[in-house]
Amino acid sequence: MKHLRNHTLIELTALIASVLLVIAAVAFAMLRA
Amino acid sequence: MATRINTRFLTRHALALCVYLLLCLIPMGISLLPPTPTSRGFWVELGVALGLVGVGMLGVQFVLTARFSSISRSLGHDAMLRFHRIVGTTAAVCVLAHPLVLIAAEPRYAGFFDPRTNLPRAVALSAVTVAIIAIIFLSFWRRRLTMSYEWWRLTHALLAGFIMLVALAHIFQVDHYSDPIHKKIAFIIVTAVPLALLAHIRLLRPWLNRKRPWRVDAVEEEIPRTWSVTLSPRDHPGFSFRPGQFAWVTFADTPMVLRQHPFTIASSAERPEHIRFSIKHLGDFTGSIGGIPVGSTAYLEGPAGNFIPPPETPGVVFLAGGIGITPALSIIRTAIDRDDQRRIHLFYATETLEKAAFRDELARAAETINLSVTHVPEKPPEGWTGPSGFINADTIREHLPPEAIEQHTFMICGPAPMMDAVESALLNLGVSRTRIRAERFDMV
Repeated sequence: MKHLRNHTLIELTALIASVLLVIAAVAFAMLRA
Repeated sequence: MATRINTRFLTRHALALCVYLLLCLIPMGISLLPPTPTSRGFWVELGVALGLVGVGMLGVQFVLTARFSSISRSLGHDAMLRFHRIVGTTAAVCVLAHPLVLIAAEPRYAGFFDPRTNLPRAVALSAVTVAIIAIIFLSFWRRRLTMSYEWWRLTHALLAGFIMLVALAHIFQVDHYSDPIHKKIAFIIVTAVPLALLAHIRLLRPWLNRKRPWRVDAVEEEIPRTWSVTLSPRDHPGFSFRPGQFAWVTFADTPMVLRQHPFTIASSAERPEHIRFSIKHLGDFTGSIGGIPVGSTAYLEGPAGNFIPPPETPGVVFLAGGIGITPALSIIRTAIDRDDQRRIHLFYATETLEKAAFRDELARAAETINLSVTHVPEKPPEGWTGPSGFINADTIREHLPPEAIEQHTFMICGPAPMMDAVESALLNLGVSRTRIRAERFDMV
């Protein structure tokens, strides 16, 4: 974490956001199935 | 202290992430509002959910790029663009996965693309599929395709707007999750807000800006291929800015043109009546800067960006590469006007010493304020005794006192490889990430 560059950190945040949203889509499907 | 700052830094970013996620989930939330329709099985619902998430993410993209000063100030323009690029790609993948998952779950959904069943629907869905692929392809390969920034920006906006409109029409046409009327209204709002933001940025704001023209007062060649352009407001008060910020500049008789580029303001924040930009010929439209006639008109939009030294910092270490010197110039010129005697150390990396623009001015500034300048030419002249090559951890350690490494704010601006190398070097030296600020313009 300490040695991650700032722009790497923002890219990591964007990837985390993307993964969480895909998980939300799966949760939606499970809820609705 | 460091722990407290890091906790605050992480809390702020975690909160921003939560807000972002909630906004993206709005279309899915609307779908779950009562009355909920009958279920169609896991895989069909997953296909639909991917479409809804994709549309939500696409909608929030318009908010991210709407040039809100609050977003630009807190996140930084380059970080926002980097985030926009990654989540935009994910959004496109989700939207493209939407029909694929549906067709894989139930092949009858392939009929949505059949022009014999419903011609307008098939044309719209096929066109939007092409639009999504095109928007991603052009964003990643614009330079390779030698597409100009102006045409790419226009194409990007039109394609994005088209995708949102077709998405709304598709939701209504399927009408599974958009019934009854209150859900339809909610979906219209979710689509209208991004489109309104797009219209505001591309049409309304330039149109309002037409009453705030600027005059080109001077165009001066600093060194070969690097020009300084000075602008003054025509019959309006101009704007105040903070040193390190940038503005979008249009050199034309009207702001309603495609050509608009971000440039860092290089002049003193204490002299907003004369705003100066220093621009290097980079092989694109910047090659025409030297030919801009004195007395002609320009339009500015801004200021924007958060590449600003924090007010509480005891000192600034600026690591500039080439034309990345411009924010440092603004900081130094402002410090002179304010008689700010806080420590500024400038590392200035250039290919040769001759290519270090503003060398004489920087030397004079060092006699006025608490500034020291370390030139780092990649190819040093004969007899050069200073550092040369690329800025690395050793260069920084040798030319900075330990307290600067422990307490000062580090600001990096220059070509991307130099910025990556310097940022890594600073982290290896133990500089806290919260004290490192970087601005990258390679995204546009």
